[in-house]
Amino acid sequence: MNERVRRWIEAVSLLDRRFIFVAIAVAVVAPLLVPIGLPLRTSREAQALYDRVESLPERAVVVLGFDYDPSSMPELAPMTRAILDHLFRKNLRVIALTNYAQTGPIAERQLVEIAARFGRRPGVDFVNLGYKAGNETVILAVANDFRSAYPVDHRGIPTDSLPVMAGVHTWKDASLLIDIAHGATTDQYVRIAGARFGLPVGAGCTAVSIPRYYSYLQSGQLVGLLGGLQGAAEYERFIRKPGFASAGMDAQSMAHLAILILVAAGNAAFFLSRRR
Amino acid sequence: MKKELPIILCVVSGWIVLLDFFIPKPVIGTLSRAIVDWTLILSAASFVMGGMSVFAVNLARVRRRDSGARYRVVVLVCLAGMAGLGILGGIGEGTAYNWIFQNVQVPMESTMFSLLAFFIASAAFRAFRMRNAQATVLLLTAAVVMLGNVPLGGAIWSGLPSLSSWLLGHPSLAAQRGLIVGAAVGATATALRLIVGVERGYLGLRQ
Amino acid sequence: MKARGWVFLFVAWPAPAFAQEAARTSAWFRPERLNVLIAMAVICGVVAFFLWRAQRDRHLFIRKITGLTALDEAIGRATEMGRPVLFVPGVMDVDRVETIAGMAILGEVARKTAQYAIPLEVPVRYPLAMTTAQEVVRSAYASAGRPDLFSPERIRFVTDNLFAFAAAVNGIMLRDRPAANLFLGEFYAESLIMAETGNTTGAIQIAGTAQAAQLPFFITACDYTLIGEELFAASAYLTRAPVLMGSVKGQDYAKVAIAAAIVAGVILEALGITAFREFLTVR
Repeated sequence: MNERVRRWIEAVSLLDRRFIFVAIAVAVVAPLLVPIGLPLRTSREAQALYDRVESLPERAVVVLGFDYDPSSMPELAPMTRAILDHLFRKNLRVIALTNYAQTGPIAERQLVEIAARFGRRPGVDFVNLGYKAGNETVILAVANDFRSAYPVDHRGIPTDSLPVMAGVHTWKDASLLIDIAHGATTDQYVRIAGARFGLPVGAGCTAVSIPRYYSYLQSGQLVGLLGGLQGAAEYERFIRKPGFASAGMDAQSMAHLAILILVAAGNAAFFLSRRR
Repeated sequence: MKKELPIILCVVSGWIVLLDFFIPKPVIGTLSRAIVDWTLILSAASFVMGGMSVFAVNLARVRRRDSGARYRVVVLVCLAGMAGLGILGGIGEGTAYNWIFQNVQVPMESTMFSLLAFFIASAAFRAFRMRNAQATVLLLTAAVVMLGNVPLGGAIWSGLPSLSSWLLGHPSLAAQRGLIVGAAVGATATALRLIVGVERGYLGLRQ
Repeated sequence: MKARGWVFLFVAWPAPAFAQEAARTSAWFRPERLNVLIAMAVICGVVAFFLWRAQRDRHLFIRKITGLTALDEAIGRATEMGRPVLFVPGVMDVDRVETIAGMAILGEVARKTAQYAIPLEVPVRYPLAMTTAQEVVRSAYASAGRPDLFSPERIRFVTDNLFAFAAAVNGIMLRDRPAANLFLGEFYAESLIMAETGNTTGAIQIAGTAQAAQLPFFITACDYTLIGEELFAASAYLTRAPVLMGSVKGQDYAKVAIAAAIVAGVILEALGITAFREFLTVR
């Protein structure tokens, strides 16, 4: 018995990290193949963002920041799609922009695909302003004028000639900004577009960044927040269109459980080895 | 002058943009906007320089047959190939550039991001040990938040998501705010040192 | 004549906007930003006072920052092993204060690697950060009396793509096996990917960032971590320049002022007086 315990402690203590990787892979893939159907609960912050969009009048202007690159697409694209679905369904004007060089085509593809479902037209109902180098400086530049910061859109069409941009010159002319980001851009939008120009800012972020945005939520500087795949699944539920995020929640649950089991096993071995 | 000029530029630009925040005078606004626009132009132009640097550094190392030269050949071929495709065929929907971007670049980057899940698991396994009372509290809190943030938590106990939300919104947030205030003051002091010209480390100069 | 031409270009270019705005406003101050001005005056006033005081009192005390003390250990280990030192000054451009703080530490690290003649690898994510880092390292090598050892190829722009950059840094760690990995600047989700890979190579790792969400990752995977403001205090700590030490001292007193404002705000809110909170709201 003692020998078995000793061996077990050794095995767990010296566990090869590749074993951990396999365990996580199994925990993620298995529920995707065989869904469990765990019930989803919605959060106040996700509900607040949905309600804010819902309260906007028809043709109001919403700026949508596609501030993630291809790496974070699996986590952030589902919430982008759910939000776009809601925006186009409500016939709101969408101005998309990005602070990431690679994201122009990604934004374009998502905009075109979802807009087509509702018969919304480029240049009239939405515009993809694309990428502009400069990070925070671009946000400051838009504070002066959209047109000077973005003379042409992603397709090379002069911004000034687009009906969707009619009457939109600075942050003040928009009704809501939703930044879907995996980096620092949301803080910048809160600081400049929100604090200085009074534009309500909502956000979508990766799960790992959720705690950092709670301070903005509590202070009212963020009107709502979608966190990771869970946030996307919640939004899919609000718009009554279960999609990739809803399907992925079982996988996320199992991955979290697998990590906790591994940590528990590691601690059990740790305690047994200390007692011995 | 080579050393003084960057400091003068930094100090003057910093003050103009700062004053623009408080003073609505057209002359300051105009200068501030000009600085912002010049920064945008410089940022965009710097990527050309960056591309040239990538090409030059890797080419030199391939020529010298340094270790890892084969990887550098891959970099050079991809760099030239994608640039060529983009310049000759455009980057819009339906182009070869776009196809490679959507079907090669996007999955490769997503793969890199997904490594995070595996690394979080291995780091958590190594680090989360109940060595003392504080570490035990840390582990238990982490368990509550991890479970509370996914549907499984609600299925185990309906109060878990609320408890997780409370932990994130109160104790965790209080600590984070402390960190943020400290960091913000540190950043403000560094910015002040920059715009009065006493911080010179970023120019490689000793104080 | 030449200089006048430049002035003309700078001012005349945005002339229409100038005229437009001239008609719009003639005020000298935005009253809605008085709160920011007061907060800034208090914080900057305290810092500036200590900057001034530091000129006379050159014996200001800063507590020991273990992560920075360990820099010598890390560089010493790299020297013993004859392996390079890897320095990542964050993943953002030079418009971020954390990057500037990272660059200041880079100068001190480069001075030491030059003295011990060990290679220093500095991959960066933005071209402007590359030129800044090159200048910092070049100057450091020159001041250490070893300009011959400076190789601009080692301070290189890799890509602006976050995770491709992380992959490249991982590649350097796995192929070149640096003895010390220093991650000092602004980091995001890639922090754990880089730090965990460095952990597997057995390198001594020192990290520092003001990004609260990334600190747990660095603390878990690195040997030493500079938390938040310690990163901004680094240049003062390493150079011991009185003027910088003074500003760090000023930071501490500024924090006391903020803490006092928080306590006052809590008490006033509890009493139902909302004027203080309303005054502090940024518009």
